[in-house]
Amino acid sequence: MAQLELRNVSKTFGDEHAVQDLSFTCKEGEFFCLLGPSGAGKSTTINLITGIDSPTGGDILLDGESIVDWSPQDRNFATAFENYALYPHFTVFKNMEFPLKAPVRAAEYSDKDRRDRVVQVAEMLRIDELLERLPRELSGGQRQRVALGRTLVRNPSIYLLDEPIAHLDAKLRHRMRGELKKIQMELGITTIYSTPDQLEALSMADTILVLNQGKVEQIGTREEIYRTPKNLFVAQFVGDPPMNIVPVQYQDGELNGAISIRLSQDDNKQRAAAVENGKLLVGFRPKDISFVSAESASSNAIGEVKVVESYGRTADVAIELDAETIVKCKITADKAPQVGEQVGCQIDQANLSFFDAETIQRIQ
Amino acid sequence: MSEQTLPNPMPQGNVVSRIMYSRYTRLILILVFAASVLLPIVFMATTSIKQPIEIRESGAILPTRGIFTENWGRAFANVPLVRYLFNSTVVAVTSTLLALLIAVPATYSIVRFRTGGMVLPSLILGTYVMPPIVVSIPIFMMTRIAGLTDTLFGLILLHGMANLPVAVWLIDSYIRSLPVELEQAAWVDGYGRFETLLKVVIPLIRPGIVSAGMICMILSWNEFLFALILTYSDVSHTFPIGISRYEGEHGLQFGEMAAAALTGIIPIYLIVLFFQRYLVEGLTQGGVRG
Repeated sequence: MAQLELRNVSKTFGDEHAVQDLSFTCKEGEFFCLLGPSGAGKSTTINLITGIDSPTGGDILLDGESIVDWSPQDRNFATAFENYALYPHFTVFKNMEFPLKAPVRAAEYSDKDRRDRVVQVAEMLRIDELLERLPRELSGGQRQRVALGRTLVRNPSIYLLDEPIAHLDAKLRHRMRGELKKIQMELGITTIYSTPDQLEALSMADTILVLNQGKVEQIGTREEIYRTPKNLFVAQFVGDPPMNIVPVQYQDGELNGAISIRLSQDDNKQRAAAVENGKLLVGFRPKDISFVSAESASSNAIGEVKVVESYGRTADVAIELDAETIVKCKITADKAPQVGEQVGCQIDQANLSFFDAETIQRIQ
Repeated sequence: MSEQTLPNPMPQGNVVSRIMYSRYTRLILILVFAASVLLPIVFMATTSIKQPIEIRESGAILPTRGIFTENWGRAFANVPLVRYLFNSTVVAVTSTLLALLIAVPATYSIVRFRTGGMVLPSLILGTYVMPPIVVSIPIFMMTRIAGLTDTLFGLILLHGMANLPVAVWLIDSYIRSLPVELEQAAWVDGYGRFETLLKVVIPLIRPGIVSAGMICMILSWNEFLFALILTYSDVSHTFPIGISRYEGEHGLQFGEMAAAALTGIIPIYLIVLFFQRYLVEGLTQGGVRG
């Protein structure tokens, strides 16, 4: 159990900034998620924390003590690598047992302790049938679970999981999300988890750090990240489908563009008026759109239904408002309109986000 | 066996290509090649059972004056052949172990820590490119100053060092192809650099170590120049030097020499055959994704 803090950490490879001026604190027992597209610097960040790489600048502190000069084996962190990194010459059992036999902690475990722990974790990950197999005899999903198992058998101060369930099939991934969250809550071990999947982040994390091109875009709870994205990148990266963004002009309490909204709430008016030239990007989640008839006076926009993707209970509907603007909305499947139909869209004003069209930063 | 069901490596249409790639052409080429390799050995075997007079008279491959097995007895009686074979084995095995003991950590260091930058790898290869005779005089002087002339130990040191570049060169690509994540995983799992080398790297590059070891052993077994310069008695003569010692009152005893030579290739073939089973491919398969 531990608190980890990164202070202005940077890492450059040659001329390339893999991570730039990264600062965050991961509290004791927290499930902390690094969310970002591939190439954002998630794996680099994890390697810096484990000590596999050294930062070119900044400091890393564990419970207030700088560990930046510690070797990886002294840090007592456990990592699951994105590409598994299983020892190909060891069986599954030996792979999972390997960290327990390390010189730094060999004295803590008897042979029986080791066997019990490995078997217990293997059962939880449903790989107990595979203990005598070699990694090359396993499927991708099984290998990923072994990599996870090798991490979980230990009792580290921090778990670092680098896209640990990215390569599992959808059903298993869904189950593992729940399992991992449960294990983490039971053990209470500080966990840093990287993923490019915003759904994973939203469903598991206490705190999410959105990383893009080596820089922090936003750090916050999942509520904050989802409801009040700090900039356009976060708004469009989080959510499935992501937030709709429409350029509008603000004047006298009204937003005009591909959508027209007469703002009824004072705080919305205040925020919209914050940009002098009135050029705004207005953002709203797909769930905040509802359909009305095209002739209705309460509609904020009229458009043609282009695509309907039905997922059983819900459906995503893409509506073309004009040649440049397509908005997506999420509704219950039985209320989905037909493709080609003209519909009116009514936008819930309670959850509107405003961004400055020039700086693409959120207007608070 | 229709053409549709079998993959056909033959390009269609072109008559020349079809003849070139036909199985008969391939078979003939293989036989010609095999014959050219085997003929000297067959010749050596038949020579070892020919009368000395016949060897001088005729160039026929097969013995014409009956089989003469005495060459074999004399080969062992006139020259301490067993002693030379023993010396060769000791030198080959020990110098190989020495070369590997240095080559494995040295190569690891060159690959992972870029020890010596760009210069060291080229220097190492450079020492092997140079003809050995160029350094024969300084080597002899140095060995004499160290008091190691005419000892097996001196020859072991020399062979070990001379074969080091070959071992480094062969092991290099094996370490390079090893995913670095496996080592990183071991560090995070609580192992230091050296323990990681022992428990993860060495088991995984075993085929490379074995093939490097086999090459070193063969090179040491066959080495003639330094063995000639540095050894002057039966105490340290190796097998290739021993072969040159079949002189009788009527000049070189070719029959005995052939018998000795045949005997001498047996141990090294056995050693190579023994180690061949450790040349397993695909040892690192399944460790990392992609």
